[in-house]
Amino acid sequence: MICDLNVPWPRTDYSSPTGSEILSLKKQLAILEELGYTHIALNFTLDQGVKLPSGNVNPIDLKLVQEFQSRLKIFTRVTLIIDDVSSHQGLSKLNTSFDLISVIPRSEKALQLAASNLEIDLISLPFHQRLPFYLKHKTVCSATDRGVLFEINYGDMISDDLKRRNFFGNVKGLIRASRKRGMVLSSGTSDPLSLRGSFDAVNLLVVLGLDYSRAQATVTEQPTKALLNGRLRLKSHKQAVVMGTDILNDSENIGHKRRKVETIVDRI
Amino acid sequence: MVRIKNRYVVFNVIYPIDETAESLEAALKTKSGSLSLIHQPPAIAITPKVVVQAIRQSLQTNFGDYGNGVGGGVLTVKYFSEKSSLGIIKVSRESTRLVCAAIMLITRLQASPVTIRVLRVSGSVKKAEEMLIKRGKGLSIILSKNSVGQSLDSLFDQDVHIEKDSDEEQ
Repeated sequence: MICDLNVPWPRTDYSSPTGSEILSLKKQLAILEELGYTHIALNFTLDQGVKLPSGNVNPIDLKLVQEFQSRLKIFTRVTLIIDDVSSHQGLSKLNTSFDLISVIPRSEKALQLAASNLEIDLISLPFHQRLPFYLKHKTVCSATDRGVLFEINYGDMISDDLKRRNFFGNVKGLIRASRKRGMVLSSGTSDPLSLRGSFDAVNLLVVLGLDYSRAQATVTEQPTKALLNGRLRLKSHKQAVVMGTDILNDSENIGHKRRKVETIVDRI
Repeated sequence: MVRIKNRYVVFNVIYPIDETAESLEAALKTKSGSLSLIHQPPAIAITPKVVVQAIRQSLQTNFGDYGNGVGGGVLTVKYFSEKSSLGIIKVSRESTRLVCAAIMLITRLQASPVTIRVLRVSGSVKKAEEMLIKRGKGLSIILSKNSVGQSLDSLFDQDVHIEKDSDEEQ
Protein backbone atom coordinates (compact mmCIF):
# COMPACT_ATOMS: atom_id res chain seq x y z
CA MET A 1 0.00 0.00 0.00
CA ILE A 2 1.12 3.48 -0.84
CA CYS A 3 -0.48 6.39 0.95
CA ASP A 4 -0.98 10.04 0.26
CA LEU A 5 -2.48 11.50 3.38
CA ASN A 6 -2.95 15.02 2.14
CA VAL A 7 -5.28 15.63 -0.78
CA PRO A 8 -6.77 19.05 -0.05
CA TRP A 9 -10.53 19.36 0.14
CA PRO A 10 -11.49 22.29 -2.13
CA ARG A 11 -13.11 24.33 0.64
CA THR A 12 -11.66 25.62 3.89
CA ASP A 13 -14.99 26.43 5.45
CA TYR A 14 -18.29 24.61 5.77
CA SER A 15 -19.77 25.69 2.44
CA SER A 16 -20.27 22.91 -0.07
CA PRO A 17 -17.93 22.74 -3.08
CA THR A 18 -19.04 23.58 -6.61
CA GLY A 19 -19.27 21.10 -9.46
CA SER A 20 -16.02 22.21 -11.10
CA GLU A 21 -14.15 21.95 -7.81
CA ILE A 22 -15.35 18.40 -7.41
CA LEU A 23 -14.34 17.67 -10.99
CA SER A 24 -10.80 18.87 -10.43
CA LEU A 25 -10.66 16.82 -7.24
CA LYS A 26 -11.68 13.80 -9.27
CA LYS A 27 -9.01 14.49 -11.85
CA GLN A 28 -6.49 14.62 -9.05
CA LEU A 29 -7.70 11.32 -7.65
CA ALA A 30 -7.51 9.76 -11.11
CA ILE A 31 -3.88 10.80 -11.43
CA LEU A 32 -3.06 9.58 -7.94
CA GLU A 33 -4.58 6.25 -8.81
CA GLU A 34 -2.51 6.04 -11.97
CA LEU A 35 0.61 6.92 -9.98
CA GLY A 36 0.03 3.85 -7.85
CA TYR A 37 -1.39 5.24 -4.63
CA THR A 38 -3.89 3.05 -2.82
CA HIS A 39 -4.79 4.97 0.35
CA ILE A 40 -5.82 8.60 0.15
CA ALA A 41 -6.93 11.06 2.81
CA LEU A 42 -9.00 14.10 1.88
CA ASN A 43 -7.76 16.94 3.99
CA PHE A 44 -10.04 19.62 5.32
CA THR A 45 -8.03 22.60 6.58
CA LEU A 46 -9.63 24.66 9.26
CA ASP A 47 -8.43 28.02 10.49
CA GLN A 48 -8.45 28.57 14.19
CA GLY A 49 -11.04 31.32 14.00
CA VAL A 50 -13.67 29.35 12.08
CA LYS A 51 -16.69 28.57 14.17
CA LEU A 52 -17.69 24.93 14.25
CA PRO A 53 -21.30 24.15 13.40
CA SER A 54 -23.35 22.46 16.07
CA GLY A 55 -24.27 19.39 14.04
CA ASN A 56 -21.95 17.45 11.75
CA VAL A 57 -18.45 18.91 11.88
CA ASN A 58 -17.18 16.89 8.93
CA PRO A 59 -17.97 18.67 5.64
CA ILE A 60 -16.29 16.02 3.48
CA ASP A 61 -18.96 14.10 1.64
CA LEU A 62 -17.44 10.91 0.30
CA LYS A 63 -20.52 10.32 -1.82
CA LEU A 64 -19.28 13.06 -4.15
CA VAL A 65 -16.28 10.93 -5.10
CA GLN A 66 -18.20 7.69 -4.96
CA GLU A 67 -16.79 6.22 -8.15
CA PHE A 68 -13.31 6.19 -6.63
CA GLN A 69 -14.29 4.28 -3.54
CA SER A 70 -13.89 0.91 -5.20
CA ARG A 71 -10.53 1.94 -6.63
CA LEU A 72 -8.93 3.86 -3.80
CA LYS A 73 -9.35 3.69 -0.08
CA ILE A 74 -10.41 7.19 0.89
CA PHE A 75 -10.17 8.61 4.40
CA THR A 76 -11.08 11.98 5.83
CA ARG A 77 -8.70 14.21 7.66
CA VAL A 78 -8.89 17.54 9.39
CA THR A 79 -6.04 20.00 9.81
CA LEU A 80 -6.31 22.68 12.42
CA ILE A 81 -4.11 25.74 12.17
CA ILE A 82 -2.89 26.74 15.61
CA ASP A 83 -1.45 30.22 16.20
CA ASP A 84 -2.38 30.79 19.74
CA VAL A 85 -1.74 28.12 22.32
CA SER A 86 -4.71 28.97 24.50
CA SER A 87 -7.45 28.24 21.98
CA HIS A 88 -7.38 24.74 20.63
CA GLN A 89 -10.66 23.65 22.17
CA GLY A 90 -12.08 22.80 18.75
CA LEU A 91 -9.96 19.69 18.70
CA SER A 92 -12.08 17.72 21.13
CA LYS A 93 -15.17 18.31 19.01
CA LEU A 94 -13.42 17.16 15.84
CA ASN A 95 -12.00 14.11 17.50
CA THR A 96 -14.62 11.57 16.56
CA SER A 97 -15.68 12.79 13.13
CA PHE A 98 -12.48 12.35 11.14
CA ASP A 99 -10.18 9.44 10.44
CA LEU A 100 -7.10 11.56 10.94
CA ILE A 101 -6.44 14.68 12.96
CA SER A 102 -3.50 16.94 12.31
CA VAL A 103 -2.37 20.43 13.21
CA ILE A 104 -0.27 23.13 11.61
CA PRO A 105 1.54 24.94 14.41
CA ARG A 106 2.41 28.55 13.58
CA SER A 107 4.66 29.27 16.53
CA GLU A 108 7.20 27.45 18.62
CA LYS A 109 4.84 27.33 21.59
CA ALA A 110 2.15 25.79 19.43
CA LEU A 111 4.61 23.22 18.12
CA GLN A 112 5.64 22.31 21.66
CA LEU A 113 2.03 21.94 22.68
CA ALA A 114 1.22 19.81 19.65
CA ALA A 115 4.26 17.66 20.15
CA SER A 116 3.73 17.02 23.82
CA ASN A 117 0.03 17.19 24.65
CA LEU A 118 -2.52 17.25 21.89
CA GLU A 119 -4.50 14.18 20.84
CA ILE A 120 -3.43 14.19 17.20
CA ASP A 121 -1.91 11.93 14.58
CA LEU A 122 0.15 14.28 12.47
CA ILE A 123 1.99 17.56 12.78
CA SER A 124 2.21 19.31 9.46
CA LEU A 125 4.76 22.09 9.10
CA PRO A 126 4.82 24.58 6.21
CA PHE A 127 8.20 23.47 4.87
CA HIS A 128 7.93 25.62 1.78
CA GLN A 129 8.12 28.73 3.91
CA ARG A 130 10.85 29.91 6.18
CA LEU A 131 9.98 28.34 9.51
CA PRO A 132 9.53 30.91 12.28
CA PHE A 133 11.36 28.63 14.70
CA TYR A 134 14.24 26.23 14.86
CA LEU A 135 13.35 22.55 15.00
CA LYS A 136 14.76 21.17 18.22
CA HIS A 137 15.55 17.53 18.67
CA LYS A 138 13.83 17.47 22.04
CA THR A 139 10.54 18.88 20.77
CA VAL A 140 10.43 16.80 17.63
CA CYS A 141 11.31 13.58 19.37
CA SER A 142 8.79 14.12 22.15
CA ALA A 143 6.24 13.90 19.37
CA THR A 144 7.75 10.86 17.65
CA ASP A 145 7.98 9.07 20.99
CA ARG A 146 4.25 9.53 21.46
CA GLY A 147 3.56 8.23 17.98
CA VAL A 148 2.71 11.63 16.53
CA LEU A 149 4.28 11.86 13.10
CA PHE A 150 5.67 14.81 11.17
CA GLU A 151 4.32 15.41 7.73
CA ILE A 152 6.33 16.65 4.77
CA ASN A 153 4.28 18.13 1.92
CA TYR A 154 6.21 18.16 -1.33
CA GLY A 155 3.44 19.55 -3.54
CA ASP A 156 3.92 23.27 -3.10
CA MET A 157 7.63 23.37 -3.75
CA ILE A 158 7.55 21.65 -7.15
CA SER A 159 6.57 24.72 -9.11
CA ASP A 160 8.40 27.47 -7.27
CA ASP A 161 12.15 28.06 -6.89
CA LEU A 162 12.03 29.93 -3.62
CA LYS A 163 9.71 27.38 -2.03
CA ARG A 164 11.99 24.65 -3.25
CA ARG A 165 14.98 26.26 -1.57
CA ASN A 166 13.15 26.56 1.73
CA PHE A 167 11.87 23.01 1.38
CA PHE A 168 15.31 21.47 0.96
CA GLY A 169 16.69 23.32 3.95
CA ASN A 170 13.74 22.64 6.20
CA VAL A 171 13.51 18.96 5.35
CA LYS A 172 17.19 18.56 6.09
CA GLY A 173 16.49 20.24 9.41
CA LEU A 174 13.64 17.84 10.16
CA ILE A 175 15.72 14.81 9.21
CA ARG A 176 18.38 15.97 11.62
CA ALA A 177 16.04 16.92 14.45
CA SER A 178 13.94 13.78 14.24
CA ARG A 179 16.98 11.50 13.93
CA LYS A 180 15.42 10.13 10.74
CA ARG A 181 12.33 8.80 12.49
CA GLY A 182 8.61 9.44 12.34
CA MET A 183 8.11 11.19 9.03
CA VAL A 184 5.24 10.99 6.56
CA LEU A 185 5.49 12.18 2.99
CA SER A 186 2.41 13.46 1.24
CA SER A 187 1.55 15.72 -1.64
CA GLY A 188 -0.58 18.47 -0.13
CA THR A 189 -1.35 20.22 -3.39
CA SER A 190 -4.46 20.73 -5.43
CA ASP A 191 -2.53 21.05 -8.67
CA PRO A 192 -2.63 17.67 -10.47
CA LEU A 193 0.66 18.40 -12.24
CA SER A 194 2.53 18.78 -8.97
CA LEU A 195 1.76 15.21 -8.02
CA ARG A 196 4.58 12.73 -8.29
CA GLY A 197 4.87 8.99 -8.15
CA SER A 198 5.99 7.46 -4.89
CA PHE A 199 9.34 6.44 -6.33
CA ASP A 200 10.12 10.03 -7.30
CA ALA A 201 8.95 11.53 -4.04
CA VAL A 202 10.87 8.99 -1.98
CA ASN A 203 13.93 9.43 -4.16
CA LEU A 204 13.98 13.13 -3.35
CA LEU A 205 14.24 12.31 0.34
CA VAL A 206 17.09 9.93 -0.44
CA VAL A 207 18.90 12.73 -2.24
CA LEU A 208 18.32 14.89 0.84
CA GLY A 209 20.11 12.36 2.99
CA LEU A 210 17.59 9.86 4.27
CA ASP A 211 18.45 6.20 3.77
CA TYR A 212 16.32 4.31 1.32
CA SER A 213 14.39 2.04 3.66
CA ARG A 214 13.42 4.91 5.93
CA ALA A 215 12.51 7.07 2.97
CA GLN A 216 10.34 4.30 1.59
CA ALA A 217 8.62 3.97 4.98
CA THR A 218 7.44 7.58 4.74
CA VAL A 219 4.86 6.58 2.12
CA THR A 220 4.13 3.06 3.36
CA GLU A 221 4.60 2.09 7.01
CA GLN A 222 4.49 5.48 8.67
CA PRO A 223 1.22 6.69 7.15
CA THR A 224 -0.28 3.29 7.95
CA LYS A 225 0.66 3.90 11.56
CA ALA A 226 -1.09 7.24 11.47
CA LEU A 227 -4.21 5.71 9.93
CA LEU A 228 -4.14 2.93 12.46
CA ASN A 229 -3.90 5.45 15.26
CA GLY A 230 -6.93 7.22 13.90
CA ARG A 231 -8.83 3.98 13.61
CA LEU A 232 -7.99 3.12 17.20
CA ARG A 233 -9.30 6.44 18.39
CA LEU A 234 -12.59 5.90 16.61
CA LYS A 235 -13.31 2.26 17.07
CA SER A 236 -11.24 0.69 19.77
CA HIS A 237 -11.70 -0.33 23.32
CA LYS A 238 -9.47 1.96 25.39
CA GLN A 239 -7.29 2.89 22.42
CA ALA A 240 -5.78 -0.55 22.34
CA VAL A 241 -7.82 -3.42 21.03
CA VAL A 242 -9.92 -3.81 17.92
CA MET A 243 -11.03 -7.12 16.54
CA GLY A 244 -11.29 -7.57 12.81
CA THR A 245 -9.76 -9.10 9.75
CA ASP A 246 -8.35 -6.07 8.03
CA ILE A 247 -8.75 -3.00 10.14
CA LEU A 248 -7.76 -0.35 7.67
CA ASN A 249 -9.80 -1.74 4.82
CA ASP A 250 -12.74 -3.01 6.78
CA SER A 251 -15.51 -0.88 5.38
CA GLU A 252 -15.03 -1.12 1.64
CA ASN A 253 -13.58 -3.49 -0.86
CA ILE A 254 -10.58 -2.32 -2.69
CA GLY A 255 -9.97 -3.65 -6.19
CA HIS A 256 -6.90 -5.78 -5.64
CA LYS A 257 -6.47 -8.66 -3.27
CA ARG A 258 -6.75 -7.84 0.38
CA ARG A 259 -3.87 -8.02 2.75
CA LYS A 260 -3.58 -10.96 5.06
CA VAL A 261 -5.62 -11.10 8.22
CA GLU A 262 -4.06 -8.98 10.88
CA THR A 263 -5.14 -7.92 14.28
CA ILE A 264 -4.31 -4.57 15.62
CA VAL A 265 -2.48 -6.10 18.56
CA ASP A 266 0.10 -7.47 16.16
CA ARG A 267 0.87 -4.05 14.86
CA ILE A 268 1.58 -2.37 18.18
CA MET B 1 38.00 -6.15 -18.45
CA VAL B 2 35.74 -4.10 -16.31
CA ARG B 3 32.40 -2.98 -17.59
CA ILE B 4 31.46 0.65 -17.35
CA LYS B 5 28.28 0.42 -15.37
CA ASN B 6 25.24 2.47 -16.13
CA ARG B 7 21.63 2.63 -15.15
CA TYR B 8 18.69 2.74 -17.49
CA VAL B 9 15.76 4.80 -16.30
CA VAL B 10 12.34 4.07 -17.76
CA PHE B 11 10.20 7.19 -17.63
CA ASN B 12 6.74 8.27 -18.60
CA VAL B 13 5.65 11.78 -19.52
CA ILE B 14 2.22 12.69 -18.20
CA TYR B 15 0.36 15.60 -19.73
CA PRO B 16 -2.40 17.59 -18.07
CA ILE B 17 -5.89 16.21 -18.49
CA ASP B 18 -7.63 18.00 -21.30
CA GLU B 19 -10.26 20.27 -19.77
CA THR B 20 -12.30 20.42 -22.91
CA ALA B 21 -12.55 16.68 -23.40
CA GLU B 22 -16.09 15.56 -23.88
CA SER B 23 -17.61 13.27 -21.33
CA LEU B 24 -14.83 14.09 -18.90
CA GLU B 25 -17.06 13.26 -15.99
CA ALA B 26 -18.15 9.96 -17.49
CA ALA B 27 -14.60 8.91 -18.31
CA LEU B 28 -13.45 9.53 -14.74
CA LYS B 29 -16.02 7.04 -13.52
CA THR B 30 -14.00 4.01 -14.52
CA LYS B 31 -10.36 3.17 -14.18
CA SER B 32 -9.81 2.59 -17.88
CA GLY B 33 -11.63 5.83 -18.65
CA SER B 34 -9.33 7.83 -16.39
CA LEU B 35 -6.31 6.06 -17.84
CA SER B 36 -7.34 7.00 -21.33
CA LEU B 37 -7.67 10.62 -20.22
CA ILE B 38 -4.24 10.65 -18.64
CA HIS B 39 -2.51 8.92 -21.52
CA GLN B 40 -3.72 11.02 -24.38
CA PRO B 41 -1.04 11.67 -26.98
CA PRO B 42 0.55 15.09 -26.50
CA ALA B 43 -0.39 18.24 -28.31
CA ILE B 44 3.25 19.28 -28.59
CA ALA B 45 6.11 17.64 -30.39
CA ILE B 46 8.52 16.09 -27.96
CA THR B 47 11.82 14.77 -29.20
CA PRO B 48 14.52 12.94 -27.25
CA LYS B 49 16.63 16.07 -27.54
CA VAL B 50 14.01 18.14 -25.77
CA VAL B 51 13.88 15.64 -22.93
CA VAL B 52 17.65 15.61 -22.45
CA GLN B 53 17.78 19.39 -22.53
CA ALA B 54 15.06 19.61 -19.91
CA ILE B 55 16.86 17.17 -17.64
CA ARG B 56 20.16 19.04 -17.98
CA GLN B 57 18.41 22.30 -17.30
CA SER B 58 16.77 20.85 -14.22
CA LEU B 59 20.09 19.44 -13.00
CA GLN B 60 21.64 22.86 -13.45
CA THR B 61 18.92 24.80 -11.64
CA ASN B 62 18.46 22.35 -8.79
CA PHE B 63 21.90 20.95 -8.20
CA GLY B 64 24.10 23.52 -9.89
CA ASP B 65 27.36 22.93 -11.67
CA TYR B 66 28.08 20.01 -9.39
CA GLY B 67 24.86 18.24 -10.33
CA ASN B 68 25.25 18.94 -14.00
CA GLY B 69 28.83 17.79 -13.98
CA VAL B 70 28.21 14.59 -12.06
CA GLY B 71 24.87 13.67 -13.62
CA GLY B 72 25.05 15.19 -17.06
CA GLY B 73 27.99 13.21 -18.41
CA VAL B 74 26.47 9.99 -19.68
CA LEU B 75 22.95 11.31 -20.05
CA THR B 76 21.44 10.06 -23.31
CA VAL B 77 17.95 9.10 -24.39
CA LYS B 78 18.01 5.52 -25.68
CA TYR B 79 14.40 5.38 -26.72
CA PHE B 80 11.43 7.67 -26.70
CA SER B 81 8.03 7.07 -28.16
CA GLU B 82 5.95 10.15 -28.62
CA LYS B 83 2.75 8.18 -28.89
CA SER B 84 2.95 6.30 -25.65
CA SER B 85 5.17 8.94 -23.97
CA LEU B 86 7.41 6.21 -22.64
CA GLY B 87 11.15 6.38 -22.85
CA ILE B 88 14.48 5.12 -21.58
CA ILE B 89 17.47 7.23 -20.59
CA LYS B 90 20.93 6.06 -19.82
CA VAL B 91 22.62 7.60 -16.79
CA SER B 92 25.79 6.88 -14.92
CA ARG B 93 25.32 4.59 -11.98
CA GLU B 94 26.62 6.91 -9.27
CA SER B 95 24.38 9.80 -10.20
CA THR B 96 21.16 7.88 -10.79
CA ARG B 97 19.39 9.28 -7.77
CA LEU B 98 20.45 12.80 -8.56
CA VAL B 99 19.20 12.52 -12.13
CA CYS B 100 15.92 10.95 -10.98
CA ALA B 101 15.44 13.83 -8.57
CA ALA B 102 16.13 16.27 -11.40
CA ILE B 103 13.58 14.46 -13.56
CA MET B 104 11.03 14.68 -10.79
CA LEU B 105 11.54 18.41 -10.45
CA ILE B 106 10.85 19.09 -14.13
CA THR B 107 7.59 20.97 -14.54
CA ARG B 108 7.71 21.95 -18.18
CA LEU B 109 8.84 20.63 -21.54
CA GLN B 110 9.06 23.43 -24.07
CA ALA B 111 6.84 25.70 -22.03
CA SER B 112 4.01 23.20 -21.83
CA PRO B 113 3.32 21.82 -18.35
CA VAL B 114 4.09 18.14 -17.85
CA THR B 115 4.94 15.65 -15.13
CA ILE B 116 7.70 13.17 -15.74
CA ARG B 117 7.48 10.03 -13.75
CA VAL B 118 10.18 7.42 -13.24
CA LEU B 119 8.76 3.94 -13.69
CA ARG B 120 11.80 1.84 -13.16
CA VAL B 121 15.54 1.95 -12.78
CA SER B 122 17.28 -0.97 -14.34
CA GLY B 123 20.85 -2.14 -14.70
CA SER B 124 20.50 -3.50 -18.20
CA VAL B 125 18.90 -2.14 -21.30
CA LYS B 126 17.13 -5.44 -21.85
CA LYS B 127 15.17 -5.35 -18.62
CA ALA B 128 14.29 -1.72 -19.16
CA GLU B 129 13.01 -2.61 -22.62
CA GLU B 130 10.94 -5.48 -21.24
CA MET B 131 9.38 -3.22 -18.67
CA LEU B 132 8.56 -0.68 -21.35
CA ILE B 133 6.95 -3.21 -23.66
CA LYS B 134 5.01 -4.81 -20.84
CA ARG B 135 3.66 -1.49 -19.74
CA GLY B 136 2.82 -0.36 -23.24
CA LYS B 137 0.94 -3.57 -23.91
CA GLY B 138 -0.85 -3.48 -20.59
CA LEU B 139 -1.99 0.03 -21.27
CA SER B 140 -3.18 -0.73 -24.78
CA ILE B 141 -5.22 -3.68 -23.48
CA ILE B 142 -6.89 -1.56 -20.81
CA LEU B 143 -7.51 1.26 -23.23
CA SER B 144 -8.85 -0.92 -26.02
CA LYS B 145 -11.58 -2.18 -23.70
CA ASN B 146 -12.76 1.34 -23.24
CA SER B 147 -14.62 3.26 -25.89
CA VAL B 148 -12.81 6.52 -25.15
CA GLY B 149 -9.52 4.81 -25.62
CA GLN B 150 -10.28 3.08 -28.84
CA SER B 151 -8.41 5.62 -30.88
CA LEU B 152 -5.38 4.79 -28.80
CA ASP B 153 -5.61 1.08 -29.47
CA SER B 154 -2.53 -0.55 -30.94
CA LEU B 155 -0.47 2.54 -30.30
CA PHE B 156 1.81 0.55 -28.12
CA ASP B 157 2.28 -2.51 -30.26
CA GLN B 158 5.03 -0.96 -32.24
CA ASP B 159 8.35 -2.66 -31.90
CA VAL B 160 10.87 -1.17 -29.65
CA HIS B 161 14.26 -0.97 -31.25
CA ILE B 162 17.05 0.23 -29.13
CA GLU B 163 20.54 0.46 -30.42
CA LYS B 164 22.85 -1.68 -28.44
CA ASP B 165 25.96 0.23 -27.62
CA SER B 166 29.34 -1.08 -26.81
CA ASP B 167 29.37 -1.23 -23.07
CA GLU B 168 32.29 -3.59 -23.01
CA GLU B 169 34.93 -0.94 -23.01
CA GLN B 170 37.68 -1.33 -20.50
